[in-house]
Amino acid sequence: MFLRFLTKRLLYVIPMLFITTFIVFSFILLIPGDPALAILGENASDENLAQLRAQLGLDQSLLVQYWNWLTSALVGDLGESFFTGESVQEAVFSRMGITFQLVTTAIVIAFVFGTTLAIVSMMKPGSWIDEFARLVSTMGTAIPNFLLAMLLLAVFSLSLGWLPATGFISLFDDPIGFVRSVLLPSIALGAVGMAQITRHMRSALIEVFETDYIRTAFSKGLSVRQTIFHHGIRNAILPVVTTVGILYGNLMGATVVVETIFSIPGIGQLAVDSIMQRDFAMLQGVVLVMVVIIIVINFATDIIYSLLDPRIKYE
Amino acid sequence: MRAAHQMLFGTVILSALSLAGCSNDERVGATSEVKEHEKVIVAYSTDLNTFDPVFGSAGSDHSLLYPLYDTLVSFDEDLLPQPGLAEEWEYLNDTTLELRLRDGVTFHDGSVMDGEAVAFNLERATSEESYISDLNAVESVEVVNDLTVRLHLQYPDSSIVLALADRAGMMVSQEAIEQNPDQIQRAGVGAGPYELVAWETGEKLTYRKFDDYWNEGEPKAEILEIQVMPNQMTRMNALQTGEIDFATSLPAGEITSLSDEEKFTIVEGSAVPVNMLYLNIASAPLDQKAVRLALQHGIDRAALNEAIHYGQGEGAYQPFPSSYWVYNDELNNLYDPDYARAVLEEADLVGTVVTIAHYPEAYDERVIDILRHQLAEIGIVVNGQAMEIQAGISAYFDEKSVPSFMSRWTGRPDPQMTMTMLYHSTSYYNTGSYSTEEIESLLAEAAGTIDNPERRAEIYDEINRIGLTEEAIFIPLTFQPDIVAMSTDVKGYEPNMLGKPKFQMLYKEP
Amino acid sequence: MTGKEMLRRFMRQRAAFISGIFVVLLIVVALFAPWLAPYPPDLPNYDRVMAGPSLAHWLGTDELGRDVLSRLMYGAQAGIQAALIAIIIPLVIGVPLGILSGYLGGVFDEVFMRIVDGILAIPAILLALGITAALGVNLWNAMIAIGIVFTPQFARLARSQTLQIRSEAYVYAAKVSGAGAFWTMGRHIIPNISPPIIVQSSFNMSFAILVEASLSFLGLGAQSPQISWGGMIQQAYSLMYMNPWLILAPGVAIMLTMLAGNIMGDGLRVALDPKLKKV
Repeated sequence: MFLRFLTKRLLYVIPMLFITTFIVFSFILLIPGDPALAILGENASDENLAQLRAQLGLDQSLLVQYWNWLTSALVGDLGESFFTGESVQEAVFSRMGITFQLVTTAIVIAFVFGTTLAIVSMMKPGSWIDEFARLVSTMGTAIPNFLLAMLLLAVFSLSLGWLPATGFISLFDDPIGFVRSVLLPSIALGAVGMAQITRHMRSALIEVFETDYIRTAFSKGLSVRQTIFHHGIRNAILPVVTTVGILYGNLMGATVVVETIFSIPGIGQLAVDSIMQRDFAMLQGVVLVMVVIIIVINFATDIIYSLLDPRIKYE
Repeated sequence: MRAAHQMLFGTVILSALSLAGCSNDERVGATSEVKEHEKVIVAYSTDLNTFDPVFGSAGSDHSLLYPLYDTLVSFDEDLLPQPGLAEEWEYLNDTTLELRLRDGVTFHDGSVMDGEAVAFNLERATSEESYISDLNAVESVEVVNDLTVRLHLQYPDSSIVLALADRAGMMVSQEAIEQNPDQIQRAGVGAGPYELVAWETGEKLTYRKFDDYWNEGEPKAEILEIQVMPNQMTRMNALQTGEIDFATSLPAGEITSLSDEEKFTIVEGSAVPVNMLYLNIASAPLDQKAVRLALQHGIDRAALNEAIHYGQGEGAYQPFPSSYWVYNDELNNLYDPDYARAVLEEADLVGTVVTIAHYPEAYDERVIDILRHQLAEIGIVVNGQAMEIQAGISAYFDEKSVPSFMSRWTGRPDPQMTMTMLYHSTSYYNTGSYSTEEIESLLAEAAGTIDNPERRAEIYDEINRIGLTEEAIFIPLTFQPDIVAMSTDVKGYEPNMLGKPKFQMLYKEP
Repeated sequence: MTGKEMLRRFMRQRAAFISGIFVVLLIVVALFAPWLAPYPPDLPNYDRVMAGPSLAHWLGTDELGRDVLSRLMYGAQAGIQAALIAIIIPLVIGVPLGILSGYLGGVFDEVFMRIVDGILAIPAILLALGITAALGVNLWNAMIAIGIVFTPQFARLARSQTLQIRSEAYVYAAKVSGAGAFWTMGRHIIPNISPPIIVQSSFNMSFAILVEASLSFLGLGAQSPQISWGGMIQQAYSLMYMNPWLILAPGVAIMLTMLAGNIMGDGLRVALDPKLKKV
């Protein structure tokens, strides 16, 4: 049963990958600006250009180029950067590792603070913390991440000097350095997620509180705390899982701006650089890996969802 | 339901592990043992394109190549030639240049830097596949003995000596190239003061002191780390928080906010890169000389410079800054709005629309805004068209779809190169292939003036006078100040007029 | 539910109502900016560079001595246009295709949805960035890019709503009674899928303003002489040390607008869906 679900999903995903990469491929060629010209600069004589275009494979038709790329990609070769000669898969994976750590931290922060805020606010309705939770859940979605990033940077790095303003240290090299380097950017990234999680959690909890089942339980002496932890979280976990899944996709995009502000060499910066430089080989690799990761995460979300959903019904 | 929580976290962490497992820091691990004061961290604006000097055209690469590659000729802060790997040189006649090499120089791989190696490199630089065009005059290279090499030229070229201070003069180990020519692009092997430890693309380049460097006592720092930070605000931020020791190309004006603090030394230099309007004279409306002259005389560079550089930098009425040896005192103010307007009126061209491609950066937009207002007053309508760098280069130089391009002339070590590339009709940068016979014969004369700098400077004065005030072949705008800042314990910095700092001279006081 | 009733339900929610008024005010400011703005937005005044707020310049002046308030008002035009274009493109392209896909089903639906899912898997800002680079850098192209990015979302939404309604009895009945496809779609499907799409549009209005600001911040949005809030932030960011306050005005404007868009979206959802209560 589970296997059949898995196969079905895979069968759906594979053609989707072909379509996405093809769309991206044809799209890339629409971007004006010739990478051969960019590489050669003032030495761009007609012969030089023709030679370099041939070397990069740019003189072939779209379909041939796509086919060549696809056949190499299928055996795990994403080619080399037009500019630096760096292997695309090496570059993409090392940069993706950075962004993934950043985005995951942002989501963990969003999840921990979002759920805590929602739960605490339900335990003390009307209190300042409840008001704060409401404020966070509305304001959080309205503050652009780059604005928050600048604000955090100005206060905690430049004025107070508590945290570094640039760079990234991997969790696996230096956990403390990692936390210091990633804290501000991940808060800037995660604020929206925190707001969304608080919101979904709160409304799911409210829903539970208003069911007849819980009202009856209340009358029999069930405490608010018990309600939240025994029934509320069950009900809230599904929308939160969905939100987390969606957040991964959104933050992979949003990270572009935050990485620029904090000078973090992640996949977002690599994507922008490759677009700006017309490094098509690199861009194609970046998009492919991003799409695969997002598909995998959606897939994981679906599986978790199906595992978590034994049709919990209160009505 | 707890199981569900664990499941969720488990998935997240597992996938994080699988992705981040390929962290790329192992290679650099060894450098962390170095004491803090033996390591200099620089923030630089641009990543390298290639370590192979003959394949590459970006002027931003030089500062990242210099630590690794010593050049045959060097230059001082005024851009005058100085001994490099060649201790001295001499013109045997107009078309024969003899280089006498330094003894006892080795490459990072231990091979010897001798006459053979120089000939190999120069032949490589002049070969078909090389991107270098500075040595077009070179017909052949003769190895006289281990330490003497002669360049035989097809025609005299006064810029050859300083061309050997540029890409063409960067000596790469022959053995390394012969072993694996492609490898050089990612990991160069030269005879410079530093050898490469790692190049983490988009992030940083790490160099380690080369123990067998010919110049004893240099370099003074053990490790040189150059971090790539494209955004100037990020470079400021990193310096402010002490994450780096030295930051390049900082914004004028903004830098004054750092100068209050005793923690930083700020050095403002003047350099040859000039912000200018490239004009395609073959395309309308710039084929009308009246429009070009109106642009040339209708822009108040002093006001422009003040507004964008806050009193730093200087306005440009010629392609040379005032501290350069070829600067002409007389060509210091072409601003004459009445004349500009009169020229336009006479040609009945008031209201002409000039489309200018420019970069979508805050700085460039500010300049375009100011030009729009200044030129509106004399009767030219500026139509700014923002294009990111590659789109702009393609549109202006290749497709020729925009008549004018606001960009930067990055400068060359020798003024002859600059003059030829900006004025000669066959130059790539002269998009409309427009020049005059007089200018071209003057250029040829300057090329042949190899031993008389004063005469050369006079010829350039004449070319600039004709080319700018009579023909308006391009429109110089401003010299952006070359501002660097460093923490006060960093020593050794000397600005150079090329605007391409040599980071190998930096060190910290313990 | 009648339109009047919906409006009443919307107005009864205080926050949503205030947000609605804010959006209306914003539109008025944008439309009448040439009359309301105290100065021409691009008039430089080098004697008054980066001045603080004063009677003459309520929000101060920027790095070229231009009046910040006037620029903010003209910037509202860009914001409103961005929001409109970013909603109209998906409404015109995405929604009909989504309805068609849901209504027809079969191979068309299979292929179409895979394309939609494929595009949705590319992060929105990146896609917008790529499209802007392809079309050329300026405000209009950025807006079109945002519109294209939103299109698959709307198509997906329209399709799922259509599927739900298609299976409902009355559409079936209409089909059986011999009604044509277009009649069915026009008569039953479109009115029924409108509420969720209206709600989505309101949320996307905020998102459009955010994406426009992000693109401008990266240098791919509004270009001089076009004025947008994101472009103002890009300029202000490059002067962060000399005058950090320049970020404030456009920053607050963006935040308030996004906030209004979100709250209005919530309000509309409640107003249009009788089953939902205010959270």
